[in-house]
Amino acid sequence: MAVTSNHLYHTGPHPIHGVLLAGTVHLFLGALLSDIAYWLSYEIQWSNFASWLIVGGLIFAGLALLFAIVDLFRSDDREHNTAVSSPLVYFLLLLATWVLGFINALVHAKDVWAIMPAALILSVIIAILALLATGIGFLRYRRGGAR
Amino acid sequence: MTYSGVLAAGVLAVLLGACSDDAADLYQYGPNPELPEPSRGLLPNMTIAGQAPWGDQQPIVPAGYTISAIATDLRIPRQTLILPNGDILVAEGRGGNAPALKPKDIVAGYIKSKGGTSVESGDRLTLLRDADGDVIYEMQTVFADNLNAPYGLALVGNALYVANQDALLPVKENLLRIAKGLVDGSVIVVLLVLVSATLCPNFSASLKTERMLMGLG
Repeated sequence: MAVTSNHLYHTGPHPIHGVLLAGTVHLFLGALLSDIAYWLSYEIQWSNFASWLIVGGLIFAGLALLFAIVDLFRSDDREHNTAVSSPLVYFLLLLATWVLGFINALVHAKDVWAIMPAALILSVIIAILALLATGIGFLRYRRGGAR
Repeated sequence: MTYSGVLAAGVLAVLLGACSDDAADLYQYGPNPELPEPSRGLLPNMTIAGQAPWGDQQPIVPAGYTISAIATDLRIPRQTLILPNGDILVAEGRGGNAPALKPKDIVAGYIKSKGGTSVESGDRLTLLRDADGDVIYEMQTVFADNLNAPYGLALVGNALYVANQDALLPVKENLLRIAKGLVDGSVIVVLLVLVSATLCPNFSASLKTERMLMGLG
């Protein structure tokens, strides 16, 4: 199973890449929690919080996306390219997170309750996507590091 | 208008609307205007008007009238008040500077600035005086400055009220002196405190009713 000649090319995501990924999850999760708080309390400040957290998430996810693109072209790992943790699946998940995150930012730019319920639904989907993308990203990192 | 009348107008409007989507065909006049439904996509519909200098252009006036500028080089004039002696006070300033509560506010501020003038905000009151009655305002002087986007102006008796956009400014000695020298009688300048950033606070006041009405928005 093990093909030792691969391990030089497969070092997994860069540590900064890992930090960006982890931040993406937390920021989008924070946005989701803020949206839930707004849904429950009608307190508009929560939607303001969510708006800023989404912008933060977009910045982190966008930078992580750059790493993912590099990964896409750099990876010679045929074994992992067929698995769930292939660079393409990871890239597409992260891309979907970012695109939906951007749409969510536009939705959050509407006035007060006009953002509901789209904002909450989008935030749930984005939080799940971000979790999946990060999970797969770190899976790749773990496998690479285990060699 | 009776109920059936309203209904008929509505049906007519729908029929007309079906013929053409032109806004000109909508019933937008009268007691029951047919307003378009509110709609909002992901991005708001917006058209930013471009900046254009006046140049030599002038508003068109009816036959028998002439038009000419009584003052130029004002810095964003927004409101005027004609004083009892014929002097004109002009409030100048841009306003704004509301805190950005959402990322949208930063983007919107940039977009809105595209449609604004590049003239620097005056934040002052200018006094125009035509002393000899020839309808040429030969005197143009700064009446009060270091204000914060003044808008509302009202004269009650000898008291002049100036509504700043948001800030409380102390009444300055020299300001009072200038005021006394320029306006007949003694003048008290009062700067009203507005608790939040509001654009264009306008108001009117009356000695008879002892009431002051203020519009905020």
